Amino acid sequence: MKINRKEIIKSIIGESAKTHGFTLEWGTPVRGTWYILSLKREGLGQRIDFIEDISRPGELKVNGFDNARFRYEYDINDKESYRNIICQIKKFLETEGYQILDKRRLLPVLHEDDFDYISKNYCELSELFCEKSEVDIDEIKIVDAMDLICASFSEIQGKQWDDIKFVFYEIVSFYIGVLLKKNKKLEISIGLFNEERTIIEIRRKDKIYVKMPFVEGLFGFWISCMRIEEMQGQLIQNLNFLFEISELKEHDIKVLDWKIANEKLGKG
Amino acid sequence: MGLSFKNLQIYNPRHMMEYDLEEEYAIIHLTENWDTIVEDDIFVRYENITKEAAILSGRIDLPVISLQYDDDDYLALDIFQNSVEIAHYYVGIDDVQIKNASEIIKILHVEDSMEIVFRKMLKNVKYATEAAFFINHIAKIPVYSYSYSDEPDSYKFLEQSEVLEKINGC
Repeated sequence: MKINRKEIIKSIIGESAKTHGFTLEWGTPVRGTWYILSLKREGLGQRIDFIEDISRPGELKVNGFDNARFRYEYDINDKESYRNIICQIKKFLETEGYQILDKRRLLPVLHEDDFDYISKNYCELSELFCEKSEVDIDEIKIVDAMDLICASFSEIQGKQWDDIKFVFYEIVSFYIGVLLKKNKKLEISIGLFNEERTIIEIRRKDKIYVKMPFVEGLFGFWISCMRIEEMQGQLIQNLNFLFEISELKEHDIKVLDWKIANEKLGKG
Repeated sequence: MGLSFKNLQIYNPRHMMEYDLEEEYAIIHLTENWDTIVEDDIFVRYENITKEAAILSGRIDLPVISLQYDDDDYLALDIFQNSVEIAHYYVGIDDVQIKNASEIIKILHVEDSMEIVFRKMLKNVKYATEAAFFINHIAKIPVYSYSYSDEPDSYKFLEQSEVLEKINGC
């Protein structure tokens, strides 16, 4: 029996989500994961996802509330039980959920000016960071540079955006500088294939589809007051994404399991 | 991890023709002329969507286009008519295969003014990302229908001049 998930969600949640300014974006299953609905509106973290996974039949996950992940169970053979969990979710959204996102919306966000400034000045900003931190970009090892980046973010967390934004630009620029200096197969790509705003990506010259927008991610280090270990973990993930295994080993960077698995599948 | 999706496309102006689908699939109307068919249930073991395209093309009197896009690495466009594959266009890593370009252009309803551009694209594009982009914007087919907004007319295509600008920039 088919449960018309979209129909049920739309009838119960659709209208009230729209009155809170959200647009409804429906998804199709991809590789066993189904983002059934994403509620989106302008602003930082203004997104709520309704997700089901083929490995967990009868469970609907609602993401979008920081580290809290809400899981709702239903009977896959009973439409009414699906209806019931959607009603529970509606109640949560109306009593707490939308308010959480309203508060988050007041936090600062990156604007075109920020991307523009970094893209035009990253060389000089990186030099400035090195000078202030008394670091020689030619000498520093990547892993030490990543630790320095994490420590620098840690120092500016909790401060006002206007007070730290130039420091943020410098840290981001140092990140770009280190990657480009240490791996000659990487390059910076600015503004390609984007209709609305400048996009800054690091990509491989030999595989241009391996590319990573990273400024927003680094911004998240500051805004979510991420712990140093979490930041380090994320930076290692990024390096594994951009570097070949031989390059990771050459720089004493941890090779992650998924990287090894991808290599075996021929995906580098 | 790159982008992955699959869907079927049927040219059906103003969605006049009606037909049934298997329960696990749904038709969405993102543009005036194309019916887009997407998977709509996760707890079903799918046959290859290409097989569904072949079956469907045998039931209805219209060509069915199957689109599969995997991890930003691979694009497969197959066209079926009366359950037979009559044309295809595959773009993988260092590998492009085209069968029956004229039929592809005809069935994708590429405008006359863009036919030469489209032919060049078929010949020169090297990456699946670019191929999907050009099919989407030149033929005005909602290729990226893995995620669609609830708002009417929310699926936008670039203007012809913008597409040409992108091509010149490549």
